[in-house]
Amino acid sequence: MIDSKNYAEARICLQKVPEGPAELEMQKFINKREEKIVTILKMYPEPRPALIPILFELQRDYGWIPPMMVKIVAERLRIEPSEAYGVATFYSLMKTKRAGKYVIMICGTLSCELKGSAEVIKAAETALDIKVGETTKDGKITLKRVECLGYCDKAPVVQIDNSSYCEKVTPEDIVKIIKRLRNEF
Amino acid sequence: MILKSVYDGIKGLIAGYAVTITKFFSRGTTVPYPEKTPFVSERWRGVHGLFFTDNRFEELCVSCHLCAKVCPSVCITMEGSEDYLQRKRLKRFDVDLGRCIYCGYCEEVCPADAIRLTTSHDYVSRDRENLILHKEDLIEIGKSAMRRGEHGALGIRRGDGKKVVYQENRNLDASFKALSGERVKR
Amino acid sequence: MSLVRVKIDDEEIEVPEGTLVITAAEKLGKSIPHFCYHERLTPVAACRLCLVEIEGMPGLQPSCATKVKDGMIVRTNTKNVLDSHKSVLDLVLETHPLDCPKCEATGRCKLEDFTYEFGPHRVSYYRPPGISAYDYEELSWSPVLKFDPNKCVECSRCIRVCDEVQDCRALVASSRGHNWRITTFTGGPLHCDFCGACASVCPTGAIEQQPGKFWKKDWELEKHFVICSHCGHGCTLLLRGWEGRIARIEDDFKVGINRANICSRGRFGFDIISHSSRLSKPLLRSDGKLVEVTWEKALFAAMEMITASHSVIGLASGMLSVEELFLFSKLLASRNGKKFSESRDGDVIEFEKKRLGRYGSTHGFDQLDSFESIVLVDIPVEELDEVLRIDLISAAKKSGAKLFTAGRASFRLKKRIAGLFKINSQTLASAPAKTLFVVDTERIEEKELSAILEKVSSDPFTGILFVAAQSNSRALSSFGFRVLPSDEISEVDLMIAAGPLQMTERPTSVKRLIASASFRNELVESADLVFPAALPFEKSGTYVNSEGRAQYSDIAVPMAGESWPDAVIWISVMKELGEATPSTPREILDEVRNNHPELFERNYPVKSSEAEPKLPSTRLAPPKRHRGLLLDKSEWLRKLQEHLDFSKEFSPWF
Repeated sequence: MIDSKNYAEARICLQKVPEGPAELEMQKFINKREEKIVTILKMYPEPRPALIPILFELQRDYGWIPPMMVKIVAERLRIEPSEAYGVATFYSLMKTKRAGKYVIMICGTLSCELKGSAEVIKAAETALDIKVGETTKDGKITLKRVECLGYCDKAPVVQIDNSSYCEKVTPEDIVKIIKRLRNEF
Repeated sequence: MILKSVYDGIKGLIAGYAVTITKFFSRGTTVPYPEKTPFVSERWRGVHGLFFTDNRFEELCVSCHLCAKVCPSVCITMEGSEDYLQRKRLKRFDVDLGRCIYCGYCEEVCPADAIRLTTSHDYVSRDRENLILHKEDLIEIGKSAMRRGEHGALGIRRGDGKKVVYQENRNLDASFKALSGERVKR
Repeated sequence: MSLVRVKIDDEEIEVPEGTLVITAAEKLGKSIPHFCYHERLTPVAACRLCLVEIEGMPGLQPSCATKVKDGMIVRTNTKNVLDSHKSVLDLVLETHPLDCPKCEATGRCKLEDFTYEFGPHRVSYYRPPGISAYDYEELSWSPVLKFDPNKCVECSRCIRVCDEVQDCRALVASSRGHNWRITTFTGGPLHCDFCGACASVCPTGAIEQQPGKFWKKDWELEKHFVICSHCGHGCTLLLRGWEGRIARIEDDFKVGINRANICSRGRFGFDIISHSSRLSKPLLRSDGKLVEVTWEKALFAAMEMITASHSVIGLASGMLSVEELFLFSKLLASRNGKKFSESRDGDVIEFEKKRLGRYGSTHGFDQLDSFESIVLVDIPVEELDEVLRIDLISAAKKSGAKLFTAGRASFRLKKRIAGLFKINSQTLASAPAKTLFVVDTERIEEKELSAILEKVSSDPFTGILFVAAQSNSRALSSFGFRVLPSDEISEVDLMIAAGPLQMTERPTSVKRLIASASFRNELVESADLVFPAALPFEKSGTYVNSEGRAQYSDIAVPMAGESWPDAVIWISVMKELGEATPSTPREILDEVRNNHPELFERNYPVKSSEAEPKLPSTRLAPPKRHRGLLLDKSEWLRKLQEHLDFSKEFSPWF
């Protein structure tokens, strides 16, 4: 039955202080971009569909999408913050965690996995000296294992940032790609 | 004729006394119980004990209620609760020995090998209340059985996960000896 | 709606058009395994467990998302279908921790049942026993709900019930593909009312209620249907307990008027019955102090007090049952006492009776979707009646009823509200025909009420729904209880207070005070004689809810300490006084039925007074004491939301 102990020890999942800036700071940041938001909002008949373009727009300026940004944007668009959070985590192009300048996304879903994406990931890990999901110490490159990128006929596929797709990547290729990215920086 | 019958009578008397006298000087079959502990097999299905891990620190029971479910005479009552590590642990465990038929199903069904039947059999009470064993009593019985090196009626050892095979011969010898009048000390 | 004939496994059945295949199969008693399908939710066909063969359709079809057609031939037991069930369950079990003996959900787990019936009895993908594929951390979303992501089968029932039924959206799905997970905002604690609907629809033990966790297995717990006493809605609760203690409260879709909707107060506020401040013995004031006495002494003292006083008034709570109010009013009538209550409900209904000649609400909760517009007249719905809020949302979704607000807007209905509605004779005259006015009896003003009643009387398609503040305050007007005037009561010798009251101090003009109460509070401390009263789950009785439906609630748990039900208390007092009184429950109910038939007008056969009513006669052992939650919702929720430590002693509401 219910013990008082049960309640006393009821551990609510620790309120992890959400990573990222405080609300006021984020509000200031978003207020500066009011014009952009308004122009995006005008493109749609109702505010709800503007969520994705606004988040992309703000990500371009801020680098990533902290939870506070999601919350403020959701309140602005009159949807639940949790719903906006679900949308933001759905797309691998939206960085809900702090990331480096370049993000290497290696597909790990079925077709790519069968074609040897695990080896590509391993090679990238050794070349960068980090593990999947981490960022290099100098903050240049983040390595991510993502779900299907929709390019299964050219598996394994690697995407770098929002721009370039690399087809049929071998472990040797990924080392070359990483070298080029380092030189570019 | 008379002599023959007298002879037969005396012969019978002597034969009879011979048996009596030899039995008088030989060792008895019965065990004078309270003074001497009788031998019981290691597989004896006696009073239940709650067993612990080999370091005797942690309870094995995960409070799955299967023993209470399988018990044909419905003599087990149990309640679970959450411990400090948020694991499922036992809060209350009562066995009514007045109802128990010592079938050993509870031991067989236990997924954690926590409840086992020990060899202890000498439990009497003038009060029916005392026949209901609570968790603390069962832990005490289990601990003393572990100290004696018992593994329960099914012979399960927890440490390496292997079943203990009782030495059949030794047991058989012992029981034959017990039957043939030789007293065995445990 | 036209009927269609479907053939399922060589058995024919006629079902209405638009029925799902799985529902038709269920009617025939066929069991098709399913996770994501739920009778209350929209089908998504996410789990692929309910695949069946349909003649003429390629491959296997999800039965939870396929509608029946005339002459359809469905097969649910071919080798192909059974193999698909098996392989899907195999894949689910691959990522599921196989620690069923240790799991709270054993016995009511769908995965367990389906695996037993259809599934692979040996998992093809080897994993060490007891270790799950994922090693997610178990989360306590709130003090009453916990979530174990390892046990989640990704059916998204919880997300849909949170969105569609509760209109809350506290739970969402994050990420996609392999990383798909049910989560709250940033994975932190839940920001909602903790209604527990997600735990109730979860097919496995992923979302569990924290109270009563690990205590008993599902098959060991008894089932009792009781009527909730926290508000005027009259929800039916399925109480699960053992040896007079309550483990948890569940919902049943088929029983009761609430359609399996229960608010957080109803679902988690049950341990009020084992609150530490419960009274267990009668208290009598001697030498300025309240002393515990026996019942005989207390009843004798009550008799002495009542016979010695010339003017008596009674103050009844709207939380007492019909029988208890009847007996209390009978006691007062025998002493020419005035009848008062704290609730305005009695006055409002009497006002309506004078104007309309009818009694109570014109429409029930199940008729909300027959209206085109619903006007909420200055009523904070979620505070007063949370389940009504859910009903309003479902009506708005189902039939497109527009919600208007007059006066105070309900916070949680904000998004659904179409506009403001100002109540005066002009607007009412031009109001659309099919309009329902939802009125809070405690807050409505006479001018507005008379305007609305005029509209209702002139237009047969317009309805009014009085939302009662307490579980039985609708019955107060029948027995003649009026609201206690706020100005000083003139010199009274004796006041008798029955039931839980909000009054905190004894009126100065009252010389003596007899109270029946369940909890120690300020009013009890100032009384001269206190009877310990049983709480709703501990006694039987009939309750009339907001829509005017009389429902019978049975005994589920033994009474705490030496407390008695109010009915028994007032019968004993009357017997002590030498008054004639009905003594058996059947006699009491028959007398109420004969004298006040209006209470039983809207008497639906929902486990109502058809059952033989009974009063507890034997004295059972008192349950163990535990610290309880507060009954006051706003206070309780505030404390929960702020994550205060529960070691602090609460101040009881009673």
